[in-house]
Amino acid sequence: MLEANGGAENAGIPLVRAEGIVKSFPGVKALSGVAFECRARRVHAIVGENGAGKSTLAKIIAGFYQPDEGRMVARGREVTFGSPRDALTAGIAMVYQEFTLLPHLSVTDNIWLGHEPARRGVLNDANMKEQARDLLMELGMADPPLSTPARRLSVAEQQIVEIAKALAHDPSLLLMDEPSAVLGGGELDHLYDVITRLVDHGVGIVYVSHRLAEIEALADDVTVMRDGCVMWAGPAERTNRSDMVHHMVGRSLDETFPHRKTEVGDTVLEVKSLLLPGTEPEGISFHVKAGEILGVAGMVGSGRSRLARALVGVESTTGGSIKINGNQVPKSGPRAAARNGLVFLPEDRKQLGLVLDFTLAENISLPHLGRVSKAGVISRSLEDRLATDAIEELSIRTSGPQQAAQQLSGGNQQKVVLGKWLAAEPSVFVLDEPLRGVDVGAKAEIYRLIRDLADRGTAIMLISSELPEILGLSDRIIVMRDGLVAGEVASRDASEETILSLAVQEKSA
Amino acid sequence: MSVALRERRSLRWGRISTVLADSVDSGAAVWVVVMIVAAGTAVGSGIFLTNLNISNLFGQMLLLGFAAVGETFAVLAGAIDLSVGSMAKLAALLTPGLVNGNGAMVVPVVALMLLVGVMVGLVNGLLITRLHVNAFIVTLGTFSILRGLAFGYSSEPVGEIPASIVNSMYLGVGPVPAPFIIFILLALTAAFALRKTVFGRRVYAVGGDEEVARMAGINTDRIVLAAMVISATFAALAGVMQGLRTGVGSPTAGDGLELSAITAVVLGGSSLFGGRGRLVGTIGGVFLLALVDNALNLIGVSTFYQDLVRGVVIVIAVAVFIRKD
Repeated sequence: MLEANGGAENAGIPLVRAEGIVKSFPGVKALSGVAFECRARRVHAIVGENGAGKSTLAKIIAGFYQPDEGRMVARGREVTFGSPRDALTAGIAMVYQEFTLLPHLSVTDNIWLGHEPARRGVLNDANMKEQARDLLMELGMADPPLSTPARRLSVAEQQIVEIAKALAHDPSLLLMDEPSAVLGGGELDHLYDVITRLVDHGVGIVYVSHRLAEIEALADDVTVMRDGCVMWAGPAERTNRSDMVHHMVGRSLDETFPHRKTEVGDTVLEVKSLLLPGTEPEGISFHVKAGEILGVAGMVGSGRSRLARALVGVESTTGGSIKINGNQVPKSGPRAAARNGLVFLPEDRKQLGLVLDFTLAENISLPHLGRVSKAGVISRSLEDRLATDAIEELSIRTSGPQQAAQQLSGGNQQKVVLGKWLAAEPSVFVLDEPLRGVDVGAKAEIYRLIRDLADRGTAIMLISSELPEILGLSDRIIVMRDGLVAGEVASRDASEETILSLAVQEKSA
Repeated sequence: MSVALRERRSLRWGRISTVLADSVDSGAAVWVVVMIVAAGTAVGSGIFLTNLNISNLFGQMLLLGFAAVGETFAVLAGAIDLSVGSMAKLAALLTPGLVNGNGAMVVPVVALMLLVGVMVGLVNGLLITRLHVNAFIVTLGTFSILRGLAFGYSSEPVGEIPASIVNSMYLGVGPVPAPFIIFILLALTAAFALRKTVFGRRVYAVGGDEEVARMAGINTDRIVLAAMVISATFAALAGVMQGLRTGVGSPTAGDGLELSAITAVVLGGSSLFGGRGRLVGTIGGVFLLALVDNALNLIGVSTFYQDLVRGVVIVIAVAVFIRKD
């Protein structure tokens, strides 16, 4: 399955070369004269902060966007890609950062979408399933859920299917936009194995990532972007992490985590014997105090996100109680939870946290329409003032309150979601992977924002797969396994090892 | 209540709601309602199960049936076709009108009507994909244009189909008229095309998420165009059948058909936003609408109340079966 079109004879030939690429979106110049080249048998990493233009460049190569200026050469021939179809025909496939699975189609059908194996127009189901199984097993799925509709998959499983979907095109150039953002350790190893194998077969890989450790391990070539320009490009051995960071942010970055400035107060959130369906009868119990950040660690699928969704009544529970400041919170949905001061910021912000078609101001004012309206009529100026405050406080990079949320980069979108709830001054803030797809520069700002929130007396639950993040930011950490709390540690006593051993420990008899 | 018991109950409810959801997705749910209504009518009226009534029921289902099959393609592709009623009206008027008692003209006229259907579908599809006008607006326009053309041709009953041909429309196997058998065969073909072919898969994909379909390298415009052509052609066929069955062109044929067709599609569990649903569900919706009308007639409900009862049945069925996810 992983045979590539190109052979050894193609080694070193530029699979794609882009010159002078310019691309503007309303209000933003995303790329200003970018040159890029990826050769066969090479992994070419593109790094840069949010909004640096990495994704835009990748999408232009994949035919998703058309450049305003510039030319592209694929395998020595000048090309113009009018749509992703043209790029796919030329052997260029892409794993998009946004999810591109159709929720109601099965895993198999999603993988083959657009190039379904068929005889005289009739789908060859057996063939499709067999090849899909092979692909997914190579990516480390032991028992691929081939017939399951995509909507029932976890986020990590969806990502693996996304990668399989691109591989099914048998590309000679594969673009991957933040493919590792939602994957856990074991899944990552499989991804790296597959990348190595593809490269051995002559495929070229364009790898967009914000994880610099990953870049160091994987990349043969590196292109560093900032503000729509290439700041540095060359072989990976001629750069290192601090150089890359320097080129990305144009300043050296202080990666230390902000410290608590206030004392922890009384218990705000108290959860007793909360039962997720299918878990043992003892249930989940924990508490969070005012001003405290409680880290929730655990492997993908350990029940972290289900717990968070259960707190706001989205996931069904079979028992237990949730109290905020001593008051019982009805498990009837996010509205009831928010009324009681519990706000949830979901993992997939594009699906659940933002209305992409709305402007920044409309998004931020959505939970506070009462405050920006008079007699039911929304005041544009009050709304803009609310948004402007949030823009300043969160240093959101935007052309203004009237910019569409869609046009913002990932990190800035995340800030908008945060800003939406900051004004509500919740007593408990549950953050599910708030830094997913956010890169270094913006990360430090979001760390500070979360700490500021806690210092103002908010109790915070921080769910994250990134152990350094959990360790650095939390005051206390609970580790989840199989839908239960496997253990609790104070973060000053914790190390990555203690957390991991709790997270993966075999069940004792 | 013990925790274990509560857990078991919630698991059971979880299973029930999954089964219910799956049965809606597969189009099975509406058939359960069809069975219940049919059984109820059979108990309440001795005439229901007679050959004559069944034959009538199947015959009356044809106009809506063909139109709803076509409409399913448009809806699944994420579009909608409001012009099916006017298209059927035009074909139902022109078929007897152009044949005008001459049996030799039947085949060429039917072929011409189908060609008109293809052309209308092309116009709808091209306006949607080339000018990027919303399908609702485009087909609202063609709905009015076709209606105007139909009334321009004749605003009173017109033409004639030879009696031998009209009679043959009522013959078949037992109580099942031949045109109904053709309808079932075409519906099965359409179901196969949607579920088992590359084209069908892409219809679902484009309706499910056009952007995703585009990223997967699908020519989304071509799929929408094809779906609109299929919809209009089935609408033309619906009108042709109506014309051949009644033997005379009626200017009221096809009135309100677009809404009935969309209702049948939705009753069958399809999402009005596209990408989800099954043709068997649509056929179930057609059966349900025809059955309710038939039952109300048999029980002797006045026409005024028929509309009312039909509306209540639709709202209840949709409220119970449409998934809210």
